[in-house]
Amino acid sequence: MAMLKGTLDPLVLKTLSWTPLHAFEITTWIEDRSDGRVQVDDAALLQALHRLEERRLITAQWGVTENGRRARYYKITQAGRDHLRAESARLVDHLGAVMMILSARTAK
Amino acid sequence: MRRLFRLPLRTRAAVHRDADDELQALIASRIEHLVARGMSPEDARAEALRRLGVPLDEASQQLHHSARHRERRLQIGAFFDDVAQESRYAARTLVRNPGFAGVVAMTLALGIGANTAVFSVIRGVLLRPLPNRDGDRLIYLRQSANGRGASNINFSVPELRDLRSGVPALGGGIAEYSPYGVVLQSDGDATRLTAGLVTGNYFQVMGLAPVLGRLTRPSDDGPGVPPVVVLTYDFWRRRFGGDSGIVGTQVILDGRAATIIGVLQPAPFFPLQMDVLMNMVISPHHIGAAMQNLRAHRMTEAVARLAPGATLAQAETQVLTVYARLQREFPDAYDPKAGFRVAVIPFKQAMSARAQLTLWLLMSTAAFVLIIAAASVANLTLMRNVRREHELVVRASLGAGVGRLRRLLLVENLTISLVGALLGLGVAIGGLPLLVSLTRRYSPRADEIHLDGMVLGFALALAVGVALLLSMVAFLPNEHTLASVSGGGRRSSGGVRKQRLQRGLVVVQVAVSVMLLAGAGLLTRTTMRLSDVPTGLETERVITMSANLFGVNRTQPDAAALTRQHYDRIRDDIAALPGVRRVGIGSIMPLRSPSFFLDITIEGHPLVPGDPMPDGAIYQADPDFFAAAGIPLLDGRPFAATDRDTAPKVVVLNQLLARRLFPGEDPVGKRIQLSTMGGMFSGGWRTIVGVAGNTEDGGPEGEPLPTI
Repeated sequence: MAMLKGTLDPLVLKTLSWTPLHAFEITTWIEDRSDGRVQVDDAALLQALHRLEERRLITAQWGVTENGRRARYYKITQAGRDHLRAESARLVDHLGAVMMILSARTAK
Repeated sequence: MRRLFRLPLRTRAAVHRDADDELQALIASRIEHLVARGMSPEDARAEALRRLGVPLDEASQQLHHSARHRERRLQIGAFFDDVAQESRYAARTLVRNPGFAGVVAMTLALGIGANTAVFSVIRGVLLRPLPNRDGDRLIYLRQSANGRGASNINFSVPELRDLRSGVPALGGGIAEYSPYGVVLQSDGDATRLTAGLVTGNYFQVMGLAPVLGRLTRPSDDGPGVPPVVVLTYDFWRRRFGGDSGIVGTQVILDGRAATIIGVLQPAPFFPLQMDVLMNMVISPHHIGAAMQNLRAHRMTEAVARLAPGATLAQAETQVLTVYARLQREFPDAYDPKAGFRVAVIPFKQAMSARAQLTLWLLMSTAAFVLIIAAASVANLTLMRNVRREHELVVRASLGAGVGRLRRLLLVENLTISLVGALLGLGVAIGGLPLLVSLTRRYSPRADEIHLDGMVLGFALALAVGVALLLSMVAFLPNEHTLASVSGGGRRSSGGVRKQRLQRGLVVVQVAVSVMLLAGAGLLTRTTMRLSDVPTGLETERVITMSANLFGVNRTQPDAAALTRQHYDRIRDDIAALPGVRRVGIGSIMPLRSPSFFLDITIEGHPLVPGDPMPDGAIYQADPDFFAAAGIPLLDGRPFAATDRDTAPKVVVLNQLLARRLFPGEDPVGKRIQLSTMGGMFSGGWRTIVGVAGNTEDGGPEGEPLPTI
């Protein structure tokens, strides 16, 4: 299913709020948590990471994976956490409203 | 600059490589993951590429772009972070050394303040465009001849008529204007005003607009029209308090009713400030036959506007051509020996000519003050850096590069010089009224002096310039010092070079100071000398006043007698005042430049052909004039009450003229004849009855003028 506009950034930040991860770990985590219902295109994810880094919501550093592969590890910053808190509150509120409208009983 | 702003700059290629590496790593991780779940490597690869969402090339391109964007923004951000941090550090350092910071800021404040103030004058008077529409296309025409007092002899109406028809490059119009003294009468009160008498095209040529009512137009020219008045902005504010209902009011000027038709926008005037501008009908002389028809009757200023597309050079060529033709056609009006010539000058330049030299002199003085200030501050900074060297070395060894240290110093110097500039603006604002009143003596544009955006920019630029300079002279620890520090040595960097620089700075300071002091001293001495020049009369106990007589129609047959009655009454009234010992009346005050020069013929001395006709400046005086002004009489007698009216005509020469006309002879008793183009004073021989001392009427520095 295509991503709802504006939801990718908060999802990525949420993922990183536990621990620093690299791109593949992030996309896997999101997929697992949503039982496979949310799939992010890899190119889109990498661009989102660049964008977040540019806004200084996350920082990046090259590291080595468990399998001995080079990977860019991302870490959330304090500004990122603040942004996540504000943005997820806004998003939850918005989705709640959308749900309320769509689940309203319709005349037959 | 790269060294100054040292940042983790990465090349474009490196950034792209980084982005591609990350992309490949992600694809590889996914393939690995899928293979671990039992997929064949080929299928796993296909699936990984599918999961990109876009073809591989495209994904790579997109990522290059977003990574580049990211790098750029991060670098800028990092720079500002560093600078902010350094500014905080600089502020802390300066607050910890209030003495040093205070001295430096005050020193710079003086230097920057002086320069800002003088620059604001230069901007207002020399640089700012005129308020007139297309003010740079305004032209001032100046006619001059040889000899004293002839550097600007104005134009006659016929001359301007010929220039109008013969110079297409001045197709924007040539307007006449001349200052004219009028008396404004109101209830029990009379004020002398300077009126500019202007032709109807004047305002259109000048490119000026009214703020209220209308301005004069060509239909206001000529004799049969009512006199109308346009108030200048200043006069309107000063005299009428900016009353917006003033238009249509009648005022009494020189005993005649005139209507105020409008108020002019604020504008500078040249050669002198006007109170009001009027059509010419108020002055019988201006619309009279002599003014309108006599080619040598030069009594009006001329301002012109370039035709669209015409250049100053074209206008000049055409004016000179016409002028040469006039000189050929009317030899009577242009005495070839007198060196008549005409100049075509941009109006703005004519207006600022007198101020230019003074202002640039002031500007360079201010610049020298800033040099002294900057040198002092540089020396202070150097000395302080000696004490700070250890700190800087420690910072360097902790990993701050030389560039970074230099930037730290730059930020510090910027902070302090900006504080200096701020204080300097205070100095400038405080000193500006003084400068404006000084400038008023040299330029009609003194009112246009303000601290505007450009002046603020100038102050800012000075502050930045000083900060850069200070950061350049500072010595930073180099590799050699660092090595010596790590080897245990201390404080040794560039000792000889530094001392040489410091000495150099002191030399500059002393040299410039001596120059400034010597200049100021000479100027003061000159001024004192000038006030000590013997003027030829007693200035201490003499007071003067000047009065216009009006109400006497000069064409009346008994005008002369009426005028004399007026003067007699004025003299008697003043003489009756307590404390007044003597009253003398004359046409022009001593020490003022005379306006009329007359040719002189000496009885029994025919003019040798080729010799210039002797001439003298004319002053009219009553019997008590010499005694009241304290001018000594060297020979003969002063005028007597019996010399009036029908008595034989007599003259008193000053010493210079007496010696020039009658070298080695006693002039008393000899007779001379005077002549002028207007016809006044001509006719009949006049007996010389006395010789008076010279007065310095050509300005205290000049030689005395031959005077009658």
